Amino acid sequence: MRELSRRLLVASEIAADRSVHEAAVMSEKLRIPLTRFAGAEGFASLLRRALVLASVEVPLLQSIKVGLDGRLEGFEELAADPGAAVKSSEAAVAITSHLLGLLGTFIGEPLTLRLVREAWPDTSLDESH
Amino acid sequence: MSGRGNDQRKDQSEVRVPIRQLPTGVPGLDEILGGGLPEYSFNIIAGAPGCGKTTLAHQIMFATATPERPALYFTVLGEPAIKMLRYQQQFGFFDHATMAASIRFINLSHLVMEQDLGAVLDAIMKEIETSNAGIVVVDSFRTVVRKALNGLSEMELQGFVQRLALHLTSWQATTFLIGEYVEGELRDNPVFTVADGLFWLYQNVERNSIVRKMQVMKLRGQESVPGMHTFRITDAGLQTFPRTFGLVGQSGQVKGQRRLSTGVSELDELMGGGIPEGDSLLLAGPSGSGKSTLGTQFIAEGLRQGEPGIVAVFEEIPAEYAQRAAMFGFDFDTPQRMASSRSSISVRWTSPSMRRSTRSSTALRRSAASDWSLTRWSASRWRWPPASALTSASRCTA
Repeated sequence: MRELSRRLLVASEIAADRSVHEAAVMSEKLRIPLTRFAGAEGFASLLRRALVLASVEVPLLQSIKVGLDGRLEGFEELAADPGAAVKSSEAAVAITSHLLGLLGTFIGEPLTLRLVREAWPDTSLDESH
Repeated sequence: MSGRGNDQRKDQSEVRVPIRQLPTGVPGLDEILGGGLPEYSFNIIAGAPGCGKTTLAHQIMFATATPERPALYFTVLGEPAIKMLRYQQQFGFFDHATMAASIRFINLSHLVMEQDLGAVLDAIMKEIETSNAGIVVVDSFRTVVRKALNGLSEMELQGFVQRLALHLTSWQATTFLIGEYVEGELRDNPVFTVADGLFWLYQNVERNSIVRKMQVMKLRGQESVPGMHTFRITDAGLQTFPRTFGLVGQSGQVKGQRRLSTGVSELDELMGGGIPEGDSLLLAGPSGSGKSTLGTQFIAEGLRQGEPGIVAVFEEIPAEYAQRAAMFGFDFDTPQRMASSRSSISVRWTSPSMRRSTRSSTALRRSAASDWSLTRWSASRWRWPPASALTSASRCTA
């Protein structure tokens, strides 16, 4: 799911002078179809698990939390850290790939990709991932 | 079914999400479950007090917990952890190294007593998030629910159970909720609706005996063997005896075309050469009519032809059985000492406490499978012979 997550990040075309973190943009895109599918609490629970798994790879994510509404919180504090900006894409890919990986574990790849298509309707997912 | 239909079905099975099966560590239980416990499943172990729920949960926990994915055992107003551990470590499956590295006990009694279900859920989730637990046990969940029902609607309770199941699954934990339930509670109880697996343990009185049985009433995601399966609890822990040959329902051994001599040439002639190899034969008749003698002759003939055999005796001890055989001129002592030889026999005595059909036949079937390529069985005064359990041997007389 890592390669797919990288492609999704590129497809998201997040502006370089963005005011929000790439990881927040990615998870927000997935939040709508996943909330419809698994419920708000279900999505928040999966995202929380994905965040913990991603934090092992990208430790700066340890300060990030999942809010009650399923949104990632705490990126404002990270903005002051110049090292965090460098790792921004890496963090976004780590969270997204773990989130999609969890979904793949539970419902399988075809259904996971269907949900991804809902979030990124204009992105081709046909290449190998 | 058309070829296209077959192709479509094959394609479907290729994309289906795989469900890993965890070994339970309970002999025979994986066979009943159709291969093992579905990973990340949310299960209930139910039954009356003393029927083995806690021991079953411990045995599974010791078989599956690892330092990377440890087990969390939440105790709630039931048996205190200190007493539980004192008793559980008497079982053979209890391993102190696993206990130290991979299992944690957490007492939730104060939360259940003083706070609401939300606080209980938060505490459970906090522990799971911190520990990366792969196995979670709540003992007794019935206590949690009973306390909560005071002032809580059924809808709120259902919401709690659903949220608990949702979070535990999201965190990739395989869960067991233990509860002293009675079967009448199956209907309309949200706990049973949400559960993926429901294991019901029984302890029934049958005449003067106590018989332990288990039923897998529900198991999402895979086929399990239906019906009641006998189990026992020994120093080693639980041991289950599947009612049938797992889901296969038959022996993998193909019956031969051979006829086996009974040891009585005239009877062989009447039977067209003897007993067909692989058949189960019931020998019935009044007391003193020669049933046991014919069984002994059958085994003795096998020894003469270099075929190993097993004699299951229920009302004599092996030495007495060998003495009786000696009276007919058959030496059963020497072959019993030649365990690795093909010309050997094993005389197995089954104690009164083991005299349950499924348990006895499974134990004998296992010894047959492990000892030799068995061709001859003789079971003296076999009670309720389950033919399916005996078809792994090529013949049996009772």
